Amino acid sequence: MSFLSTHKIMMVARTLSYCKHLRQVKTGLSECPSIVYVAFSNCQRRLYAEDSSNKGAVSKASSSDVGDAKPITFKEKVKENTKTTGYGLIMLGGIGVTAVMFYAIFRELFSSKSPNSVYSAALQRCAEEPRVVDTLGAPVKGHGEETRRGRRRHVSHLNYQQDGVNHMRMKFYIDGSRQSGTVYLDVRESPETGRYEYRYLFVEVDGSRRVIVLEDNRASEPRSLPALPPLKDYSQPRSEM
Amino acid sequence: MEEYSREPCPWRILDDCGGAFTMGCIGGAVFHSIKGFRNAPSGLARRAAGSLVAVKTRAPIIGGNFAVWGGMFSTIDCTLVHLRKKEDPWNSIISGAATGGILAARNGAAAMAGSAVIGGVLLALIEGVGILFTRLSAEQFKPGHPQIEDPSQLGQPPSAQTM
Repeated sequence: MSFLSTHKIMMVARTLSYCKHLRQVKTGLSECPSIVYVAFSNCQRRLYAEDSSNKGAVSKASSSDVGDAKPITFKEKVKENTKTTGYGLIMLGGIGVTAVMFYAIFRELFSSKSPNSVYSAALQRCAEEPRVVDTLGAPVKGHGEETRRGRRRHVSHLNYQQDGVNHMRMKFYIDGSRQSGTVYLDVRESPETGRYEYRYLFVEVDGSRRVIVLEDNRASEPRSLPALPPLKDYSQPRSEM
Repeated sequence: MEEYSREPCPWRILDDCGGAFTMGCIGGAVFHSIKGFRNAPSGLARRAAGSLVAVKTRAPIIGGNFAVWGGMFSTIDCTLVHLRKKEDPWNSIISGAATGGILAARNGAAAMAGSAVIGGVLLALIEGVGILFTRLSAEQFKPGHPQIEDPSQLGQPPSAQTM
């Protein structure tokens, strides 16, 4: 016990001298009294904090030396373990959330079946197509749906399954120097190669109702249905207009 | 010729700058009001005064820092949109890294590299959150019936027309 008290006194003295030192420095540097207050109150808090935190360590050390301090009770043990487990769970949760976010972005950027890569490939296909470039004007730029804050990175898409085969349907916008257009596409996962292949890909020129078809492979695809579903045919009156 | 939806790009820089300044001011005000309160001498009136002084002196600085970040980020983002002719998550990740690097330029090459990595990772995380959110909302609004008709602009498939 005597060890504990001397330690405490020494610590108090040390902290106080530190405070005094700080105070002198601070008052020497500036006339503002609030800084002195701040520095002093900090010191007081630090003194208090060190005092309370070191008490446990000191008593623990003395218990091994002297042996008269009471042992750690079951209640304390439970309390400590619960605390550790709680913090551990919070840390694990944080790591998990970060991992999920990283997984999402990596899959989006580096998987060949992500909407982003389908969008990139289709945009490149459109920008290299002479008919599209001629109609819209030379540098063809692509973007997705515009958000309220002027961000246009998200591309509208829909994943669906038909006859047990994965499909993705997508829509994005392209801008040329003269005109702009909307690109519609549908890809299906090829059962043989496992890669996405276009079912169709076409550009609708905005304002003119002109349609430039880049890919239309719907005729060659295998279907379990006996006949193609009836489609409403709007193409004839449209082309007349 | 003013279209309904004009190009967001050059104007977005100012928007982002102002938005970031506002965000920084509000966040800095909240942060420094608490910090000033805790650091002030005891007594409620003095604590409130300290809090107010801290907010008045510090919050605009944080707002300014945020505005510089936002403006720089948006400028690089728009430049990338122009150069790459495409808008995708890479733009924001690259511009986040570049912004972090450029704003740490006065601290030396090592600090630049560190800030660039932090900026890129941060923006990648933000993009990841955005992707997750859009995926969740897409799952919610998924159409119930699996039969999806092909768009009418395309007309009938070639085989049906030849038949």
